[in-house]
Amino acid sequence: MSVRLLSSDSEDFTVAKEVAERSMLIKNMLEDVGDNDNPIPLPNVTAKILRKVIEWCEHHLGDPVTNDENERRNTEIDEWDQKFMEVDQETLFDIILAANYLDIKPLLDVGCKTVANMIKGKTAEEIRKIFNIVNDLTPEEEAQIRKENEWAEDR
Amino acid sequence: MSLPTELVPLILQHLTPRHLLNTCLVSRAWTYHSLVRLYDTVYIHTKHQLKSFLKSLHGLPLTYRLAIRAILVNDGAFYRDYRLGGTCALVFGIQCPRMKVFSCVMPYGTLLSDDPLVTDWAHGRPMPIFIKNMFAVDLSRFPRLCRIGVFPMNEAAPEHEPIYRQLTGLVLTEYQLETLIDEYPDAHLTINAMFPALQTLHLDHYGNDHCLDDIDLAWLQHHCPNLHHLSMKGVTVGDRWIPKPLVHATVRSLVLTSVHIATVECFPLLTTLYPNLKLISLIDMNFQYQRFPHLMLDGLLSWITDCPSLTSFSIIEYESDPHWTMEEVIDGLVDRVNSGSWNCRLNRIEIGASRTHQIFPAKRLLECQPLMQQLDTLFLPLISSHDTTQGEVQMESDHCSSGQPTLYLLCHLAPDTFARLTTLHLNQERGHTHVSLVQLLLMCPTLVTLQLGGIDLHHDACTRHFPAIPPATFNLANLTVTHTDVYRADLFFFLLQHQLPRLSSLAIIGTRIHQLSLAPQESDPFLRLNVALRSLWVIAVDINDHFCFSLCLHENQGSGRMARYTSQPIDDKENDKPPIDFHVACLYADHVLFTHSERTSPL
Repeated sequence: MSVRLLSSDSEDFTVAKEVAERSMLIKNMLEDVGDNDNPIPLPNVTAKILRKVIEWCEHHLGDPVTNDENERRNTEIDEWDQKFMEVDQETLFDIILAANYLDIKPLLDVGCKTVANMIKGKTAEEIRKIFNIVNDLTPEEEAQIRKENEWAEDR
Repeated sequence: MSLPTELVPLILQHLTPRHLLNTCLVSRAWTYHSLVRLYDTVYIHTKHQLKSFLKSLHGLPLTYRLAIRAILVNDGAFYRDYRLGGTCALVFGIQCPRMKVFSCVMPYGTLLSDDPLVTDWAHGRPMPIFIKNMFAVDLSRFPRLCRIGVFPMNEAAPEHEPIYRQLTGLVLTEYQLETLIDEYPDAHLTINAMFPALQTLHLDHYGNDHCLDDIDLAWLQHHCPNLHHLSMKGVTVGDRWIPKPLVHATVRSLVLTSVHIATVECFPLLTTLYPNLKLISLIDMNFQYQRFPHLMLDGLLSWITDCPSLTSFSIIEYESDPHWTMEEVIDGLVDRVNSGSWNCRLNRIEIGASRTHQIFPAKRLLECQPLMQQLDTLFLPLISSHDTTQGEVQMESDHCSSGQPTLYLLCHLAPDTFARLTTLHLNQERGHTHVSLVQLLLMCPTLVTLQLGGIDLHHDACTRHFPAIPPATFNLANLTVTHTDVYRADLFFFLLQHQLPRLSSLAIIGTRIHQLSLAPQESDPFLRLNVALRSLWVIAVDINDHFCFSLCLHENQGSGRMARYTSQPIDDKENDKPPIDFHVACLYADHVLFTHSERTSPL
């Protein structure tokens, strides 16, 4: 049994139902509308990203689903996922946004972990630089934050 | 492209406190999301940190105080200052109204804990909820509490019932349990369970001398219908136990510490009472007062072998001066495997022994192939070199006369003895057995986690038994070396730097590193790792007879800037060796713990 998905740029994808159902959003929609031939419109996801997402869902079709948040947070990114996430920053963010919108928790985790790993070991200034963030903190605010959280310094 | 704002909190979920301290300075939005995350679970390692946290709490904005969901304090932070515990309980009660979890933990314990919060803190190492702390918490101050790892202060009181109903983890003194049972005496008249959510319960005798009888156990069974982990310390079980069909089917792990089992008739009753045990852990069990020790031994062995779902077994003696001992239990179990009378499904065996132990017969256990080959986890105490003068042991050493420092008792084992082993702990309390790291890695090809304690660590494998050239890399991800002398450290550093591409957690504790050559242009030792570390612990380390006064961490994923870790002011008398800085480079490190001396160590 297959399902039709329509990307925001009107590309029509036909995928196996169980692949599409890795997305809780689509799963719930399918339960609501029942069987019919109409494509499901996904106005927030472009064809380019949808293709990547479907590739991920197909690869991870047999994965056990865990609801344990700690377990999900603690597992390392596997090698296939690491390769999968080797894309430019814009695509990476788009995949995470799509995973969030489509409600595919494990893909969302892998994406967020990938970005989190990019942040590790970097200073605030270095982080601002990679993600194009403007510093809106005054030096006084910064000093206050440092002081308040000094206890958490591990050295 | 900028990072979409809605993703920020999702991404920060995956960062540890030391990274959050950087992200909180990026921008206002990042400050908020980083600090909410930082305060969600507060980890306190040292007394210094605890005091500084208590001070900061007063001035901390309400938003962040409300974000505090769990406070985990390393038990070591209360060392010699148990009044501090009372202060904490009071201050946390006032300042952290949404706290759900309050626990004292010991990150270096050996008991199994299924607690994800706790194991996360210990970087994957199992450890116990620690009950040494003699301070208590007033439950009524923590209306949202779900898990508590220190004693509640009050005796049973009806106004606590709503809290009881939401608790998933609890520590009780036996006396508190008694007052609860007195307050709500008959299980069958009470319709609702008092602790419907409780999964973990620790019972501690706390100075009282009382016996758990069938009424108590029936009460627990009725009022804790979802209990998974039951641990008891210092109680007597089964003095007055009238056999009746009582089944507490949800209990999967049972940890008995210094528990006195009254009669041999108790064992079959335990078999019926807990039919679904996956884990049995016996710590400092003491049967010496029994009139029929061998009947007790048989009873105990039958209980263990009659548990159909048992996969994990621990037997540990820290304190007792045993009359009949764990040697006999292990021997008895090996006999039952060898005779085919026990369809053993163990995949985890933990054996722990203290310095009072003279000999441990690892030989028969290690040679029991059917048992060894199905293990994925093994904790093994090594015999001290002191005992190697004894005949049997000496013969074993002679067995391998390659001239290399050999790995005690392991050389002669069948090559696939450790075929499935992923976790190995080898510990020795005294004496210095030669252990070759490479040989261990060759013998355990699937090894992921290795802890070595109290040994002399050498490098080369025995050339007679391992003539082939070792592979270029090994799978090992977690390495802990405690109270060990590391020789030919150049080879040890080379292994860490080049042969462990999956290394993610490294702990060096109370260890002396010898014969490390320094690069000509460097005056300090430098360990250059090309991996990302989940944890790096450097505690009380000596290198080439210099003590490491500070740890200099270079995180190459960032600018490679150096972060210097120094511990609290040192007592000059404490160490007469000259200080040096120990440099470690890696991509990044999620958790770092450094102290220069074990006296100020949080462990």
